[in-house]
Amino acid sequence: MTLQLSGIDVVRSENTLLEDVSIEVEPGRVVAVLGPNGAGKSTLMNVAMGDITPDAGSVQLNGEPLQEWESRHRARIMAMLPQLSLLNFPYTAEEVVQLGRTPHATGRLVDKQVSREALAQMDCLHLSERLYPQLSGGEKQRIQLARILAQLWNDDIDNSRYLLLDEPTAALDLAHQHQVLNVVRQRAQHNYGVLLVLHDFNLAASVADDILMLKDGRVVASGSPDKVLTSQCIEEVFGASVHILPHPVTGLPVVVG
Amino acid sequence: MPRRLNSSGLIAGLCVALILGLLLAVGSGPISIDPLLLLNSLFASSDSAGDAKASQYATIVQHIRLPRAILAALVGAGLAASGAAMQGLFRNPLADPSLIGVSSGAMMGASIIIVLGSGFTAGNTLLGLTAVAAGAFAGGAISALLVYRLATGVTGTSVATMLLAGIAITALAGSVSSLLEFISDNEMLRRISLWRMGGLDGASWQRVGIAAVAIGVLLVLLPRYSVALNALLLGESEARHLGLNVQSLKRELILLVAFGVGIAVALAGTIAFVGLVVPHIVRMLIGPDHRSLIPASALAGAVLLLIADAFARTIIAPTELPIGVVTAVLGTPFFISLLRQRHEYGMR
Repeated sequence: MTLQLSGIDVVRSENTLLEDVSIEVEPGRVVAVLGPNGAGKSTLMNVAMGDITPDAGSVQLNGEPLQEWESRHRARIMAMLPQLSLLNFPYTAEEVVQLGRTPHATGRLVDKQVSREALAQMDCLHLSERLYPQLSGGEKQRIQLARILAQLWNDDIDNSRYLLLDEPTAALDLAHQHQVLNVVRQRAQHNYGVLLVLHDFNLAASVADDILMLKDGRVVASGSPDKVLTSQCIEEVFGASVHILPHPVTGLPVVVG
Repeated sequence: MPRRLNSSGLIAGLCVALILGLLLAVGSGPISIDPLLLLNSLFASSDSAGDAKASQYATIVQHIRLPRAILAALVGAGLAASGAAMQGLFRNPLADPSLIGVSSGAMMGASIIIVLGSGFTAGNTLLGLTAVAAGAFAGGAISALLVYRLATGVTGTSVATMLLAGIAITALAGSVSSLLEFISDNEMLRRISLWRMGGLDGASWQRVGIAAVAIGVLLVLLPRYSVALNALLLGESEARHLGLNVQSLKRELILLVAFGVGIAVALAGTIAFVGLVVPHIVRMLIGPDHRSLIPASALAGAVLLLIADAFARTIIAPTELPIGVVTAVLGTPFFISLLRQRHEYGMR
C-alpha cells in the first residue's frame, strides 16, 4: 500500500526534466519536495498523477502500475491540487467543492454533506454561497483544497489514499498556511499519503516526515528534515548561504537567510 | 451573493412558454387565426366539404404553419443545446458554433453536395435533403476539429487562438463556397443562396421528421455529458484527475455538436447567435450546472426561434424576412455588450 515512483526519467525535446528520480509515499506519511524554480517539482507531480508518461521508470499505486487503474476508481483514492486554477464560470464555491464528488456515486444528499464538511475543514463555510470567480486568490486555493478533500472523502478509514499538493500555501496568509498544514497532518493521521511541493523550508520542516531536495531534475538529498535541511545542502541546491537554528519550541530545524 | 432562479422553476416556465409560443406561431401570419378557431383547425380535416373557411384554415395550419413551427422549435432547441455544450467544452462563454467556423464549414459541405453531387440528389427530394444534411454535418465536424486542434496546445485551449482559427476556417470555407457558386448553374446557385440566408419556409412534415429524429438524438445524448461537462469547466487535467477520459469526451462532444449544428444548418440554413446568446442568458439566470443548463437552453432556444420566426413572417407580410437576419439583428447588440463586459465572465 504505497505510491511508488522508481527510476523516473523525463526528457522533453532534448532537455532532461527528471533523471533517475525515485520516491515512495506511504499512507500516513508526508513527503515534501523542495528545490529551486525549474528543478522539476511540478513535472514530478504530473508523473505521479499519470499526466506525463515517463521515458523510463515506473509509477506503482498500491502495487499496481498506475496506468492499469480504472480512472474513476483511481480518482477516489488519489487527488491533486493544481498550482493554478483556470475555472472562470460562475459556480458558487460550494458547487466547486461538490465537483470533487464526480468519481463517486453516493447521491446528492451524501455529496452535499461531504462538501459541507470539507468546506468546514478548510474554514470556508462562510464562502459557500459566493461566486468562485469573484473570490480572492487565497480563497480560491482553499476552495480547491476543499474540493480535493471532498474527492477523497470516504467513510472507510482503513482505505489508503494519496493527496498531491502543488504549492498549497502559495497564495495564503500566515494563519491559513498553518491551517492547511494542520489539515495535511490530520489527513496523514487518517491514513493519507501526502506528497507536496513547498517553497518555504520552515513550513516543510514543520509538516514533513521526509524531504526530497531536487536540483536540475536530480535528487540531491532525501530523508528526515534535520538530515536534509543543512546549510551545506541548501547552499549547494539554491546557491544561497543560510544558517540553521533549532526551533525554540519544537526543536525542528529553522532556516534563516 | 448571486441571485439565481430555481432551475426547475425556469424549466417549467419555459415549457409553458413553448406551448404558448407554438400557439402564437401557428396563429400568426398574413391570415391571423384566433385561438378558438385555431384549436378547431388543428384537428379538423382539411378536405371537409362543409365550411370552406374552416377547411382553408385547417390547410394553412396543418400543412404550412404547424410543420414550420415545429421545425423552428426543433432547430432552436438543437442550436441552443449545442451552444451550451460547446461553451462548456471550450470553457469559454463566448464560444458559438458560428464563431468557430462550424456554420461556414457546414455551409461549405452543403454547397459541395449541392454542386458536385447534383447528379444523384436531384431526382429524389428526401435523398437529396439527407445527402445535403450529411455534407453539412461532415463540413461542420471537420471545421470544429480543425479549430480545436489549432487552438489547443500543452496549456489547454486558448480563447484568442480559437477565435482567430475560427476566422481562418470561416474564410477558407467561404472561399470554397464562392468557388463552387462560380462553377455552378442557375438552379444550383438558387439552392445555395436560399440556404445561405437561412429560413424555415421550406418546412414540410418530411423535414420535421428528419429534424425530430436527428435533434431528438442530440437532445437525448447531450444531457448524458452534463456531469462530465461540469467537471471539464475546472480544466482538462482536473477533469482527468476526477476520473474522466477527457480525450474521448472532447472527441464525442465535438462530433455531437457538429452533428447538431450541421443538421440545423442543413434544414434551416445558418441561423446566427441562437447558440451563443441563449445558453449565456440561461447561465446568468440559473448558473453553469449543465444538468439544468442544457435542457433549459434547449427549451429557451426553441421559444426564441419560434418567436423570431413569427416575427420574420409577419413584420413585412406578405414578404418574409430570412430568419437568420432576424436573429443576427437581435443577437449582435447582445454579443457586443458581452464583449464589453468580458472581464465579469473571466475573459482575458
